[in-house]
Amino acid sequence: MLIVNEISKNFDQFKAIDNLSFQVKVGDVMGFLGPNGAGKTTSMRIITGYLKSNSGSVLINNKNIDQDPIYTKSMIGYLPEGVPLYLDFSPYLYLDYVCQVRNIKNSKGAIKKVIDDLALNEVKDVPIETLSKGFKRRVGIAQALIHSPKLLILDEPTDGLDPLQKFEVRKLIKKLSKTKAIIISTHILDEVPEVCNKCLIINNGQKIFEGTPAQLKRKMGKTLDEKFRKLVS
Amino acid sequence: MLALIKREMKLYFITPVAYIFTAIFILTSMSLTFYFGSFFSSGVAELNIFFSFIPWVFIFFISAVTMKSWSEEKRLGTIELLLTLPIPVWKIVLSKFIATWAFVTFSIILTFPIWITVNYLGNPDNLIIIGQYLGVIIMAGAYVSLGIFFSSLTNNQIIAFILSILVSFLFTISGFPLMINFITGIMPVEIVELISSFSFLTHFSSIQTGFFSLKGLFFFISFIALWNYLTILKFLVRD
Repeated sequence: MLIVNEISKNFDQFKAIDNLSFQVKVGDVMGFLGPNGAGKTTSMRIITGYLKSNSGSVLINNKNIDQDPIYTKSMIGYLPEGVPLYLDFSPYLYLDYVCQVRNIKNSKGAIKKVIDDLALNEVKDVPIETLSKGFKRRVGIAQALIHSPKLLILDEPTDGLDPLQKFEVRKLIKKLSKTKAIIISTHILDEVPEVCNKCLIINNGQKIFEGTPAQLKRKMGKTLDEKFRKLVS
Repeated sequence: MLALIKREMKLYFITPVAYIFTAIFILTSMSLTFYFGSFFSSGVAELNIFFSFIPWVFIFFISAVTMKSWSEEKRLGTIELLLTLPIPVWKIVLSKFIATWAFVTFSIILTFPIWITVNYLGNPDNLIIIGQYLGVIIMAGAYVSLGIFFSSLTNNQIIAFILSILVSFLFTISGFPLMINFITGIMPVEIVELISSFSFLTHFSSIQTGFFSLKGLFFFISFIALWNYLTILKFLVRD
């Protein structure tokens, strides 16, 4: 589904991404790990077409994101870092707008489905501005899911949620993973074995580990946190 | 694209800010006309006085309307959602322009009571007035396209506002007699003509007679196209 091929990205002198390659298939949930500033968000921004890489290529469903941007963008559901949303809109109005710009035929049904999936019914008509952090994040996930994309990219989807909400979102991700390729960036390591079947760790823009969560654990024989600290230090 | 335009319009009307802007625009243009333009004592049934103040009001009003167009998206981060939609950049940029222009046009149309007043008091040439209104609307598009470009440069609304005022002011004043007299003293005639040919006032005055001069129309349309193109370019060549 997604093939990232030796991408690099520089901001002036600073190398944000350095020759990064990986693949994600339908059915995969890839945990994307790394310390702050490692290049996780930049990588996701390149895949979604928000930023352009300096070199390398990204293929989504065998189409290059530079040659077929409209097609590849239509395949992606994206929750950006920090969950940007139009604060004056209500979740319903906002999701309705997303349906219109994405040309979703049965918009009422699509909205109802994500509102049910993410338990947004009680807040669907109040301005997003007044919602709690957890609700805002769920609205962000809802807009990423509404067009049932094949590739789902979630930048810290469970950040700011309470334990119950975290559990619900993880359950949803697991359910979705059957028909989609999913990338979630996180710095909560406990999340990785719970929802992911693949794991990619980067530091300073370079790949330092790729494998299954079990491999990661075995290789270390320690807890994930210790392993993580050791890898990135 | 229609959905994008609709959302932009909704963003204007969902908050009270737009209504306040419109109210201030109408109040300012009216009070300038009545107090400084001595609209009543002029004793002529026409709206030339009203329209002569419009470009100056536009400098502030349209800069205020356009300042948040892109900068707010940048500040909130929603620009990331917008630019990762499966929609070409030029459509996104044009939607913003069209929605803002439509909003400004709406405000211009709301000044119609002055038209009724002048019809009540005398017998103006209403065809000329319609022509003048159309001219004003086209000129407004030029200010809007410029303001939106400056909004795309920064995530700070105030900076966008000030830059837009500054540049609109330069384009407005460059044909003003005072300015022309000043630069005639220090520059060759060709350059003076070049500068004044870029002035909104020069082209507006031809439109203001109520008769569309092709030259004026062409000027404003190319001006709108140029600034929209610059905004599109700004997002196409981004990192």
